[in-house]
Amino acid sequence: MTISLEETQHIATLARIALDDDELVTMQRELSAIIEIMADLRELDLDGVPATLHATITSCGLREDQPRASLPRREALAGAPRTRDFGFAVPKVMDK
Amino acid sequence: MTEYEAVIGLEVHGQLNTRTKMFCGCSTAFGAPPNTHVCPVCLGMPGALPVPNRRAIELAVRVGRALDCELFATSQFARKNYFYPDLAKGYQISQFELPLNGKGELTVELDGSPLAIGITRIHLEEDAAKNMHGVGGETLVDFNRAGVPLMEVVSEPDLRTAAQAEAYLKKLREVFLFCGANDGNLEEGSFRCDANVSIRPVGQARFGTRVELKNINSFRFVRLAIEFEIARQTALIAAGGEVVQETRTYSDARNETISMRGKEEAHDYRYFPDPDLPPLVLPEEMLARVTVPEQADAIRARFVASGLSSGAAMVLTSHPAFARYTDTVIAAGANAKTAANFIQAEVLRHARTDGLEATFPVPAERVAELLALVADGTINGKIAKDVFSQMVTSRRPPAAIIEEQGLAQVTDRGAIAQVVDQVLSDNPSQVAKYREGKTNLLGFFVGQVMKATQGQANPKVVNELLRERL
Amino acid sequence: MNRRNGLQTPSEGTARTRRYLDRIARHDGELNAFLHVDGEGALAPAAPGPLSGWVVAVKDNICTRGQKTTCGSNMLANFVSPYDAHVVTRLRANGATLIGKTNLDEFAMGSSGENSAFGATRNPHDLARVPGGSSSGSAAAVAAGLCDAALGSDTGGSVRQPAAFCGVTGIKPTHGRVSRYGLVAFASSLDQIGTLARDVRSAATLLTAISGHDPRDATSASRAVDDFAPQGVRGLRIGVLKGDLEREGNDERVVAGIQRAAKALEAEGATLVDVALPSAAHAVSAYYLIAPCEASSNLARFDGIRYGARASAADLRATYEETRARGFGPEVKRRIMLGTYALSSGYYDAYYLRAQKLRTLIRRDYESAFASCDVILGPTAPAPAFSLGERTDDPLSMYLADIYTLPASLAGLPAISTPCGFTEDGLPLAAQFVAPAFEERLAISAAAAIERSLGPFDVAPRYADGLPRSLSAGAA
Repeated sequence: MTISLEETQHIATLARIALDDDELVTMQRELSAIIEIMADLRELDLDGVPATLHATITSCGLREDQPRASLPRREALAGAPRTRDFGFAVPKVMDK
Repeated sequence: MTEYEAVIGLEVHGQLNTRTKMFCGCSTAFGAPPNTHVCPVCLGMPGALPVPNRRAIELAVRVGRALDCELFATSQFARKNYFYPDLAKGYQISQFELPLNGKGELTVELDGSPLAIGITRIHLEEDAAKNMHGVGGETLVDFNRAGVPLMEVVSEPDLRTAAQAEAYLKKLREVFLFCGANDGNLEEGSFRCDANVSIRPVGQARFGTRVELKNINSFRFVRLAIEFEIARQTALIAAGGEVVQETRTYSDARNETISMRGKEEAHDYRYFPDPDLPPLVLPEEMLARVTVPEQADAIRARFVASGLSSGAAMVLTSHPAFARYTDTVIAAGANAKTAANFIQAEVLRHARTDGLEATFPVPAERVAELLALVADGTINGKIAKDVFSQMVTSRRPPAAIIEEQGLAQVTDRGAIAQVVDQVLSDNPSQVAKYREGKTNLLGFFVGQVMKATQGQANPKVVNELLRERL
Repeated sequence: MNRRNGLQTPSEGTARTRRYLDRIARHDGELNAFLHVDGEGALAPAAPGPLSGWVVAVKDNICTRGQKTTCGSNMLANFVSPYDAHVVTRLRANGATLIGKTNLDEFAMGSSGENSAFGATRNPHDLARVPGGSSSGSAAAVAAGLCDAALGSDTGGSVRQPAAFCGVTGIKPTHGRVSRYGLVAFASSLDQIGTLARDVRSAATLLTAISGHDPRDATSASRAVDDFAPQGVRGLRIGVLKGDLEREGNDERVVAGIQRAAKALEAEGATLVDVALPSAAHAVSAYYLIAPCEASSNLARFDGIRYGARASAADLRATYEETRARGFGPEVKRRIMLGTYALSSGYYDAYYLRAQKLRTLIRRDYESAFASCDVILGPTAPAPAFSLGERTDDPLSMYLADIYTLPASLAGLPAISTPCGFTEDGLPLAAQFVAPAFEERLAISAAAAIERSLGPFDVAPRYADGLPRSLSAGAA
């Protein structure tokens, strides 16, 4: 089983990673090779086998509804490449 | 000519009434300065991990039980993956294949007859951040709202008219409120509704192409938007056109639905179980403890049974705090009907609601004390209203106000008899007319006596003495 | 001989820290084990505690407040975390001195240490060879005696395999034993923080200090922490993975090492039984689906908006795509792409779900095996450390270096890699022990037994001069 160039481009778009033409071809080749060796998994009979999400922890920890200190705003914004008026600034987005 | 019917399904997002966010300890308070209720978890900082809020889960269980939903003792959080600046982690934590609550039902009353609407599921998720438009064409992101706990209630496509949809939403909001789970505030966005609307010829089983209506922030607009959309789609199909599957929003200024920007790409959310969150197994202790508080319908029935009019019962259950207040006054010994009348006429004028909370000018216990003083004849109803006004401003107990200002009724027959005699001797001609048969002058004499006693004479005694002497 | 953990006086501690700082200054130029050394912080007085005087290095994908945490990535080249990871808090509270942050394969994705954006780390036993990965810097720093011990993270073998290549002990505890809060996630259902040290007891002592329930991690086990100190192995049933030893492609020196280890255990009173994990043959496929799937989502947060480097571009979409194209290295991109593909519409059932089902089969295999034994012995890696550059152009051959560490990762089980000898040219060989969930001590005890018998395995010979003596009670 192989992955087409179009599919590779679609995946790159979903993953938001820009790939130039050469990178796209290399990526397509490498992904196809990796998928190829996973053929063993497709051939196994796994009907009726439950999935394991967590091997050792079977139930989710919970927390009480108790407030904890938030970060000082200065620290929250400190690492941002661009801020304005105490907001994280990004190129304009349209409403969803 | 082909007859068409609409098929409507609603998705309601209700903010769960918690102090902290779904997966971190940041406050959920509305209206704080930008990016002050944020931490490594809700900012999606490297290494930060989510831990679910027990209270949020309990509230969603409660709503699920109120809607007779199948409750899943084990459910699973899942990641919905997409990139957007309001999404800190590049995914939203939601529930997908295994929600907290499965199928349930909500019955609404429409034109006097009940209509059962199926609930598909209720699942938990986290809210996104808020994008604000900055100057210079930039978007500024405020993460205060990011991670606020939401329950999404998805209805079956059982609704056929805009009026049914509106009735369903109002009823659902009432359930949220009486579960103490959500404050039902559409303006602040803590109660949000999306509607899926499609049209099909009557008798056709297959659904038509659906349009999703988003971001509608009032019940009226939901109704108008659906009405418009039904008309638009019907006209389109009747004219031989086709409905395009898309997302539209409602413009109240134009009273029409408007297509939102076309999708750049087909969405592929790549849902998968969140590996940071093992299966959510509801603790036995929680299942045993979480019960559904008395719902509005039951309270109304109880009020009517205790003698209230259905109108009064409706007013006093329009907010859970009103019902609690009424119950407290009655529990303290007041006559149900008297209490209901007094609360409606006097108390609610001064009451303020703020989400699930309400503030009353005077505690229910004090109103009960006041009504007890009327019942035992210490004051009359008219004085009671004055005393209540003073209780509102001075915050003092009614007995103290009455005592201090000498407002207690005069019930001493001797003292009242003196005033009665004085009134009769001051008004000989009216006395003569009364005795000639104009008995409706009794009210005049009562008024004179009350005036002379500044309203404090016991009206019953006044009446008795006047009748004796006339 | 100091029979207790820790030091007598604070000034002794400072002197010790200075010696390690000197060693780093002298040797790390050629090793590139450290990304940041915190001389000032390390010389500040530490709290008194069981790790008093211990000089510990921390893998640079574990958050340290006020210090850089780069994950070996250009994406986070200047990222300073506003908080300490749970394990860092625990180290500080136990009196440890944190000397710096160690190099790693970018976002812990790699098996050679060569995927760091800040240059490869070299193997202290042979500078032309890789130290293994992804905890490359931690293993190299411990092996070269640049610190007493180090923290690493292990997703598919990232503590054990570099420990094996560098001739030190590395423990990956049970999934859930150590809080992941503050560990930058690669594959959440597999990631565990582990410890590396020059002797088994030290690695166990450090593990005791960082283990235990943390309410900030919903996958943290709420179990009491045992004392992980090794015990005798008399009567212990050791399951030997005969199939793994007979597998084609194994370096015969590795096989000989395991046989030597098995004999040593027998001599100490343990019994040997043959066990097999039939489904483990598919572990590579399952792992290289599950880990990339989780990673594709875990690494979506690196978008250049709230922190990290951002590429400027015309619009939002291009900003995302350029930021991530420049911020991530080739292996990280490859895994994000693979995971995105495997989770995308139409493939979920064929890949992700099947991989998770295979995980169940591997778990069942272990359950059957543990019916007849207490600990399972096998190789950590099929061969000793390979040469720098040897596999960089062939991702698949790199993935196969993890073949023996993956099954325990998929099953969430505790595992330890410990030296069991050297090749003629001085390359370390290692044995791996896997124990049932939360039975770390069984694996630790078995490892300590072969250390007693075949060791001691100390610092790489080239760096033997002037090494401060171990503070671990009972260590050689």
